[in-house]
This record gives sequence, C-alpha cells and structure tokens, in this order.
Amino acid sequence: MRKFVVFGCAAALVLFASASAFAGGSKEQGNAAGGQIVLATNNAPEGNGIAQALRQWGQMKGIKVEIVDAPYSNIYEKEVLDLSQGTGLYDIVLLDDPWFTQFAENKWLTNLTPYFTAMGQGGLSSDFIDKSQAICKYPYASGLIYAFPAVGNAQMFFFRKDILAQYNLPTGPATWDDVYNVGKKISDSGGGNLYGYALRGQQGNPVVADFMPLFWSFGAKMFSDDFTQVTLNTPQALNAVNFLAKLVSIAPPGSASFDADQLAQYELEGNVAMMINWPAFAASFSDPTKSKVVGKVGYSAIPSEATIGSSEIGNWLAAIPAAAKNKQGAFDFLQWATSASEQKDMALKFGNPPTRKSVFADADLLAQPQFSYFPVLAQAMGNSTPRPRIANWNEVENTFGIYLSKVVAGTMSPQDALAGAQTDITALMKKAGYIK
Amino acid sequence: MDSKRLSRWSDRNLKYLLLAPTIVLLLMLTVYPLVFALAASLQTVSVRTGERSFVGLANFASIFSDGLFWNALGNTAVYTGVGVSVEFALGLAFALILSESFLGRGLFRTIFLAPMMLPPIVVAITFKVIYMQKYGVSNWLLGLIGIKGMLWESGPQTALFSLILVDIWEWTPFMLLILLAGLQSLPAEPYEAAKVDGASWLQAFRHVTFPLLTPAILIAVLLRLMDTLRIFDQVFVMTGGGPANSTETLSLYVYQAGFRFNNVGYATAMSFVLLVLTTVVSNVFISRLRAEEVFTQ
Repeated sequence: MRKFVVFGCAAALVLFASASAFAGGSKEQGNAAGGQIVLATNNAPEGNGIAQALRQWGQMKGIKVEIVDAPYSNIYEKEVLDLSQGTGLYDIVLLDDPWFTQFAENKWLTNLTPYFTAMGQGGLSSDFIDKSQAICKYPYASGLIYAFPAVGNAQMFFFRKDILAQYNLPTGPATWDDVYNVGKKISDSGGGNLYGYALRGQQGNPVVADFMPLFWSFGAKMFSDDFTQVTLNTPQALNAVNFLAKLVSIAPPGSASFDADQLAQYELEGNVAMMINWPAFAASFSDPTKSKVVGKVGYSAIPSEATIGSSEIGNWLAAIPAAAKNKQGAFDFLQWATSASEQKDMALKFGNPPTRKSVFADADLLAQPQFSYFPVLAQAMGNSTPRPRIANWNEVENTFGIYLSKVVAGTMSPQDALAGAQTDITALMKKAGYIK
Repeated sequence: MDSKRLSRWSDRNLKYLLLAPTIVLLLMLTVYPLVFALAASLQTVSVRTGERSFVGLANFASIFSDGLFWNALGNTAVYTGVGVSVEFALGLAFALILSESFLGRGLFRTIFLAPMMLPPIVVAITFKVIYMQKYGVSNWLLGLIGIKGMLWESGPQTALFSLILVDIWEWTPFMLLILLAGLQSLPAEPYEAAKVDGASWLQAFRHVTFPLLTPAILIAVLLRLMDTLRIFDQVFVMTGGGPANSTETLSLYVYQAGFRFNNVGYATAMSFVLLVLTTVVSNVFISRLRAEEVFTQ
C-alpha cells in the first residue's frame, strides 16, 4: 500500500509541475499576443507573398510577427486542427478556396462585416473582382464576409500560338471540338514528340480540377442548385466524360499520373500544343533559361461547347479564425496586404496574380512580358465558376476523382464511372445531411 | 524523522519516486492516446457543424461494406507480400556474397547500405523523376535496349509494382545488414563438421546456415513486415493512391479519411483494424522466434 501512496504522490508532483510549466507558457503567449500576429500559410509563392508582406507590416508597426508555414498537402490539416479545437494559435489563416465552405459552415472564421462597418465601409472594396468577392462570403455571394481574396487564380487555356496558327486558330480554339480535331492532327503528325493536348489525370484533386471546365462547357452540373440532388446521371455529364476519354487518346502516354507541374514541363520542352493550367506557370514560359517556347505560348478563355466555357476559380483567401487573439491587428494587416499597391508589389516580387481589377489593368505590369496573360486571367476570373459550395467537397472531389482516374487510365467506361460516382456521391451527400 | 528512519524510507521508496516521472510520461504518451483513439472510433463528427455523436460500433461495421477499404487492404497485402519476399531473397543473396572475403568488400558494403540511409520522402521524389514517362532516366535506359513507353507509376497495371520496386531498392540493404550480421555471428564448428562429412555448399547452406540463421531471418522479415503494412510516404508522394485507385494503401486511406475528409471516427476504426492486422502477423513471427530461442537454448 505504501508504495502506491509514494508512487501516487510522485506522479501528482510530476503532473503539477508539468501543468504549471504549461500554464506559465500560455500566460506568456497571452501577453505577447497584444500586438503579435501569427500567420498560417502554405510555403509556395502565394503564401510567401503574404508572409513577406506580414514581415514588412511588423517592421512598419513595430510588432512581433510569426509565420507558420507548411507545404500545400499539410497546411489544410494544420489549419483544421487549430480551427476545430479553437486554440487561437493563428491570427490569420491563408486558405485555398475549396476549404472555405467547411471553415465558414463550422463557424471557425470571424465574421468581418462588423470590422468593415467600424471603418465606415460597406464591405470588400468594389475594386475586387466580383467572383473573388463572392467566394469570400458565406452563403456564397449573398452572405456575410469571412475572408479577403488575397491571391487571384483561375485556370486559363494555354496554347502554342505558332502551331495553332498553322491550323488557322491564331487566337486559340473556340470550342472543345476544335481542341480535339486540331489536337488529333497535331498528335498524329507529332511522332511522339509533339502532342495536341495534355491533361492532368492524377487521381484526386488534379483530375477533377482539370475536368470541371470541360464538364461545365458541356452544360453539365454536379448538383442541383440547392445540393439536394446529384446530377451526374445526365446526358450532358456523359457527353463530357466521353469527350474526356477522347482527349486522353490524343494526350501523352502516362496522363493518368500527370499533375500541373508535369503539364508545365511538357509545355516548357515544347512537346504539347494545348492544355488547361494555372497562371502560376505562365512566367516560366517566357524565361529563356527554362523554356524552349519563349514568346510562343498564348492564353485564352476556356473553350465553349454546349455553353460558354468557364474556368474553375481557385483564389487563395485570407481569413481570421474565430478564436484568434489579435483580430483587429489581423484585420488591419489584411486591409493593407490586399490593397492595390501591395498586390502590385506581390505580383512583381512573387508573380502572384492579383484579385483587384485596377491591378490587372496596371500599365506598368502590362508592359512586362511575364504579365502578358493578365487580361486573359482577369476575364477568366470574371467568368469563372466556383467549386460546389459544400463542406464535404474534399471527400466528394476525391470520390469523383477516383472514377475520373479510372476513365483516364482506361479501366472503366464513362457510363460505369458516372453511375458509380452518382451512387457514391449521393451517399456522401446523405451522410453530410445535404440530401435527406 | 531521524536519519535512520529516513534512510530506511528512502531505501524502500526511492526507486518508486525515481520511476514515477518516466511511468507518468509513458502513460501520457501511450495509454492516453490509445484510450482517446478508442473513444474517437465510437463517435462520428459532422463535417458541417463539428458535432460529435456516439455511434457505437457503426464505424467498425462500415468497414466491411467499404469497397475502398478492401481495395486498400488488397494493395497493402500485395505490396507487403511481394516487397518483403523480394527484399528477403535479395538481402540473403547479397549477405552471402558479402560475407565472403574479396577485394573491395568494404566499399561494396558501404554502397549497398547507402539507400537505406536516405529519407523515404527524398527517395520517393527522386524516383518520381526517374519514372517520368518522357523525361525520366528509366525509360531512356530501357530505350537503349529497345524497350519503349513503359508507364511505370502512370499505368494502373504497373503502378503498384513500380512502388514496390522503390521499396525493394531502399530496404533490401536493411535485410542485408541484419542477415550479414547473423551470418558473421555463426559458429565455425558446424561448417567444419559438415566439411568433414563431405557436404556440398548447397547442403551446408540448407542444413547448417539456414537453420542457424533463422532467428536473424525472422527478426529482419518481422521488422520489414511491420513497416510495409503501414507504408505511406512513397505512395503519398508518388501516386496519391492512383491511377484508378491501384496504389491506395491502408495507411493512405486512413490518412485521407481522417485528415482530408474529417471522418476521424471512421479513420480511427480503420487504424484499429490495421493495428490488429499488424499485431496478428507480428505475433506469428514472434511466437516462432520464441520457439527458436528455446530450440537454440
């Protein structure tokens, strides 16, 4: 008995000592948070731009700042862990647009509307592109403001001007039929060194992100407007997936594992004529140290088919967690960091596309060749479509991605893939409570 | 308390006092997470509101009807079975060669052991570049002998085996290391007796080397089995589970369910299944190992 008492006393002492140490730590943090701003961001150019701005802000205001960065594949789970537990570790989180609905619906983010009101502003500046403003609101477009559109992004159609000019399409293909017909001729005559079209077929987010513009162009939709029905069992959806299979036949072998960087590699080496990709790669195409196609790459809107082509919007948003310790400081910084002058600075230093109309029209930037795609991107963002605004998009996207990957890999027919996706995604929507 | 009593008290209890911090720390790091995980596996968390609800064994029941789970289990089984078998065969062959004396043996040993020193993430990224269909060195080398267009990790039929090849490249040295250590610790007398009896090299290997080496073999295979059953890094970096779900392993599926889809309860339930599976497989080897120890004693 005695040994248990001794052991218990010793254990209690250890626990007490540990608890005291932790309590001391949190008190210190609390004091420091008076002016401190902690940012969680991904360690890619878009995140590095905001991080650099925060360091500059810290020097200007004489406050301590801290950057917590992680690769894209890890930053989501880092942020979810903090937000869902309400630890208040971060004052600002940089988040990819598809995560926004989950974050806002779970009430993990701070409603920014009162902060704008306190400054005598009605909300986000009208200088921000309308579609970029819309994805910062919950519910979509009409609700309260929970984020700033920090970095602009939307897919564009990339094409080789010199090659398509030979097929009388100097400004790019207008329809998906043009893409296939010209692409087939290019692949057939390319001898394995030049392909008409390249696609991101990697399972998960890449294949879905690459496919959605095509899907929408064929007049298909994944859900009814109120998300109570999955609508993958339509003729439009089948036409789109059948067309995807046709595009695979003219794409380089191995498309089933391609992501955006592999596509960019094919473009840089001059081995592909057309693709959908993100603007982040545009600057490298005009860099002679990396590119064999300097001055030969053109940009256009997504081709149309049954409806006007529309790209997927993929802005990076900056939000303030509901449990953040320095909300006003974070808000003031974000107002400044998303101003026109700062967005121009980030474009020049990091190549980050802006979200403001005035920066897209900035004469200094437009005069530089690496920003030649700005007018097309501004148009693409203005005419973009968001991913479905549902909290379980990650899981839905993964499920759809598995079936699309099977089509790209040639192990499943488009009909079977859509039937399987319809069943599985309906089950996911029921589990999440969207479908009763 | 006089000094004599204090000394007696100290003799009796000091050991517990000194042990207490370690045991408390161990309980915090092992027992608490296990209990927490068990509790989580009996709950479900709404992806929309974060609300938790108790669902009993429903998460475990869902596993049986989840095609993705069975696909991941099948891929994991193939990965483990093929990978560990080839690693064992190659590791043993190299160990037998390197246990002999020849010029440059030390250099060869260092070269053979190098892959296992590299972080798995670095190996995965490197092989992703090597496997690139058009620009990778693997297809360029195959092209020199007339083989063209190998899809490697891009093909649904070849992707899993391409990943296994990476595992074999990186972890055969581990087998080699343990088996070589085992070979070098074998006594010389049985070999001398076998030689006197006129045994051939093959007979000596089969009737002397292999039985004496069995404990080392069991340890090497057991450690690799436990590692490959929870393979994650290479799959995550190189294929993400594709193409066509042909490389999704159990660990990757658990990670996705828990961290990407926020199905923490279901992910934890699957983790327990993986834990049971690993424990069962390990126990087969551990019990054999115990028998061997008894035998050798």
